[in-house]
Amino acid sequence: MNSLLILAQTDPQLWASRVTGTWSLTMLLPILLGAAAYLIIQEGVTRGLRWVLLGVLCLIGSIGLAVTFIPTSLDAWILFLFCSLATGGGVAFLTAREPVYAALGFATSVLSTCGVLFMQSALFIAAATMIVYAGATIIIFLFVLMFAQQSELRAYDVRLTNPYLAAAIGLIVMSSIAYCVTADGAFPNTKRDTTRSLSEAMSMSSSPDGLTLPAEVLTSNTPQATSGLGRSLYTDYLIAVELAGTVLLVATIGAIALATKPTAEAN
Amino acid sequence: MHDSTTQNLLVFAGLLFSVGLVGFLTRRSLILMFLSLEMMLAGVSVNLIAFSKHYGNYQGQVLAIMVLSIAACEAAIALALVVSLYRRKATLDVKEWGDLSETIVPKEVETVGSMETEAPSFPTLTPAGLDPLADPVPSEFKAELGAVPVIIDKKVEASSNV
Amino acid sequence: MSSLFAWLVPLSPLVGCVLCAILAFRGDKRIAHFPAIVSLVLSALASLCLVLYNAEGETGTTTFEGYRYLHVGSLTLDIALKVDTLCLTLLCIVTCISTMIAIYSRDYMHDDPGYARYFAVFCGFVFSMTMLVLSHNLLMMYAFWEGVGTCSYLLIGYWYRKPSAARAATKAFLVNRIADCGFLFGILLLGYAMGLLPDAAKDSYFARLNFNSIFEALPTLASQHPDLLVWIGTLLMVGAIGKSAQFPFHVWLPDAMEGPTPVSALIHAATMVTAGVYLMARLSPLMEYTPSVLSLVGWLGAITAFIAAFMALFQDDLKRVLAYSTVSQLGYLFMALSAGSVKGLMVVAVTAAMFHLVTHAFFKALLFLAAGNVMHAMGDVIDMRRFSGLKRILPKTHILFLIGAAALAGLPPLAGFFSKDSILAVLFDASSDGEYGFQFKVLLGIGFLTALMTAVYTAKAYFRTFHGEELVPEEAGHHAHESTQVMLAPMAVLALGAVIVGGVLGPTQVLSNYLAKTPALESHGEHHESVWIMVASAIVGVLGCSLGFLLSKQDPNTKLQGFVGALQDWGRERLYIDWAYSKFIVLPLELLAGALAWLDTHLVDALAMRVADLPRIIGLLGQRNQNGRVPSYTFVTAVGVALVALWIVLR
Repeated sequence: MNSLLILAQTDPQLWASRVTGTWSLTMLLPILLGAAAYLIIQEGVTRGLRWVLLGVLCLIGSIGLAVTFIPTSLDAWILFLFCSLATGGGVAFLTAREPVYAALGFATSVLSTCGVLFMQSALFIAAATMIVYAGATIIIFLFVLMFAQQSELRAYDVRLTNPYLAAAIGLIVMSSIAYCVTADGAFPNTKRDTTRSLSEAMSMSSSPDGLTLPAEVLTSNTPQATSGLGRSLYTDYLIAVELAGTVLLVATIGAIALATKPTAEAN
Repeated sequence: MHDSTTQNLLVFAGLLFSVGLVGFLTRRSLILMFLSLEMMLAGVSVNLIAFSKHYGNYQGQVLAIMVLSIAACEAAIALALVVSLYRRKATLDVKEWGDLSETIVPKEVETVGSMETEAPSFPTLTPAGLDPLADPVPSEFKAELGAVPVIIDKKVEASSNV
Repeated sequence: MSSLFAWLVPLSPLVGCVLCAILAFRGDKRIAHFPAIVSLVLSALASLCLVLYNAEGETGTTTFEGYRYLHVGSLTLDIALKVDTLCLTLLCIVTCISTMIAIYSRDYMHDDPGYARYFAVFCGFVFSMTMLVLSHNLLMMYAFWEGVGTCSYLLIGYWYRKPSAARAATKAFLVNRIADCGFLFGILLLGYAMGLLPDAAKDSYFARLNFNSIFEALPTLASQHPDLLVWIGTLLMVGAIGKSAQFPFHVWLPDAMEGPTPVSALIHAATMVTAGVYLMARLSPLMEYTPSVLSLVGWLGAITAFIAAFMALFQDDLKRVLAYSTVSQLGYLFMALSAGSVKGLMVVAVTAAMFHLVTHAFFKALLFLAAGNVMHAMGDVIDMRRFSGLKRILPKTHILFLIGAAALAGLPPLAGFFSKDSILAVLFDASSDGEYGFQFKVLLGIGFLTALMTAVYTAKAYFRTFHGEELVPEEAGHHAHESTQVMLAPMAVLALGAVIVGGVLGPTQVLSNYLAKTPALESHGEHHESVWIMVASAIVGVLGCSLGFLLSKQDPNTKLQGFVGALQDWGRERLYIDWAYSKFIVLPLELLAGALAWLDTHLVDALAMRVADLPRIIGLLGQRNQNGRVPSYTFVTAVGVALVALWIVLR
């Protein structure tokens, strides 16, 4: 049975059991609904009472869905918080008229995503994402935004291209993904991985069956996870790392070549 | 029984991806379009890491690192492109750039509608050397070199008056 | 040690070729002769060392392994050098004479803009020729056979801005191509035939073409597939007579004189054109089983020798006289080879042919270089009607030309006399055979007649050029002078060769004993010199020279009447052979090509153009959507993504 259909369930027992398990659908949808409510109300102020009422309805639905959620543990709470914040940041990014606010919304979203990654024991990637996105990319983008910023809003900041079609496409893609990943047997529910890599084989000697990673590696957020990642990167994926480094170098050169002021003869 | 955390994260990743997709489709500012792309990539990274955790190996994380480095490259190139494009037309509107159009396609002329929006107000920081609790910025403040001593003098005068 | 020398022989000119080519593109072109001459001297020394060290070894043939050039599935082709006395003989001639001529070219080509290019191709030729001679495999031989053809093409068309030179180069190339087809088909057929043998499976296709395995398999092949062997022999012979400019492929060689004169001396007189003779000599064990092919070779050689000598009689161009003389002498060589069709005479025939090949290389190179001197002094005029009496202006050239001409005319005791005599002796021996006796009686007659005509035209050219009243064309200006010492020195060496080589190698049996070390040429019977042949050929030589002297007195511009006049016309028009080729072969082909070209433009191309219109029409339909705006493109993509997502869900 598909979890997406939970919302259509009438049996409260089943509802509650699923809700505590799969909060993503039931909680993130309210956020989306809330965002829609915000947009509709904002639009409705200029369009009329009917729009405002629709927006209020959405808001009520959103709150109603939200209160059905009861996280079971602290971990789940924190994860939920980060996810909500990230989604909210994304919505703010989508709806902001000021490009600067949009960029700030993006930053919120990325930082919260870093929190999610952190919760998933991907410490190194969380840190790297924070440094690269929030630390570097966003700042530079903001610089460029400021550099290109005019005193008043430009039409291209306010007007959207085909918002309704885009929303429909986004909805279709979103619901397809949600349907697929929550379907029964969408992916094997096992932590056993038969494709053992070289680096894991090195740390596998202590493993009882020679197939599973030691329990502490799997569950803990200890630095061992990061060191294992490093070992994997520089043994199994060495060529990929070298290639990525080369691509970075080429991109650096390209960026410098592109951004230098064109000389007189080039014109 | 599904692993609920993995499932949740996958839905979250899909959401992030979709938001990025919608942003990429609707926003017209070049920079915001690139930010949307980054958001889609972030969704993909979350997806990869969720599976990495789920299967208990590093392959997903390694792939996420690759995504990260390629995204950094892309950002660098994109910024350089945006800057050089901006030099030419002084606009970030993606619709301004249609030079590769077939010649028989008519040029789209944008109808300039009403844009009744209030002037944007940006968050500001109090300039250095001033008391943040006092009236934020004195009206005679000018952010020029050599202007600071004048203001300090005035403040001194004001306090002496009290 | 021998291995080192054997590889040095071809590789040294290759290095020289590369260095000259580099100089041709950048650097000082004027020093291009330096790497060329040094590399050729090295090569010549290496080949002489091979002779001194008896590189052929105890068994008479040694193969020096090189490297594996090709390995595809069961097909392998090894590059290796096969050394025996037969190839060493030719190798020494090639390297020594090319060294002499390279030294001569240093001054002859002095102010030419393509100086470095000349030496690059020159060295490339020597590389290809030595590799051809040293090949251990028919296929490798074929590759370098084409290599020398290419170098010859490049050197004939050396002055490529001159239309006649470009045409001559193309002609030589095309005529050779037709003949080379025969050679290639012969090689392929031979490989096929070897594959039919019971124990063929052990060898790959290319390995079957090694000379050693061919010779091993010959008795079986001859007993099982005699018809096939005749075909193989015929096809290989076609290749040989094409390269050696025998009738009916002789037309390219006289035109090849458009190249620089040292090139004519080296490639088109001394070395490359003898490759056909070398091929026949190399394959003499095979030819022994196909006497009918050898008989055909004899007839062709006789026809060539006779008609070429006849045409040489009536030429006014000094270089063309020498060119026809070359063709005629090559015909002589093939006549000698054909005597192998008589049982037991094969070894003697090959020996005689090789002997004449060696001596001919010396005196014909000498004659060409002397003609080059004349040309140099006369301001590139080579028409004998426009100069005469050059004895005083070019005293040294006169002596050298005289030596060469006497050797060619077969005056005793010069080299040409002995070698020509040995060929006539072989023909005489063969004429007592039962089966082919009559043929060789005729060939012997043609041989004597040709010898007479050779003496006549040689003497005629000599007297017309160097005697009589002094006449110098205006192109020479006032500075008609003798050539430099650098040009005369190598000619002196060649002249020495032309004088003594015949006497040293021939009657003393040095060459025949040396060649007998080659396994295929082990001597079976004693070859006896026949005194009356010697006397007769000496008389013929003297008689011909006197006749030539008389003819040279006659004014070339007077139109002769009657039968002699008709002969003169036919001789000047090259017996109308070139005319017939252009009318009956080239013209129909051109018409066919024209018809095909018309079909191509009006049918095939037209159809292709209509088909090409189709995508354009389809493109017009979608053109409107290409508005160049990023948002429209991204929307199309996103709609596609959404549809795919829906399809996955609803599947």
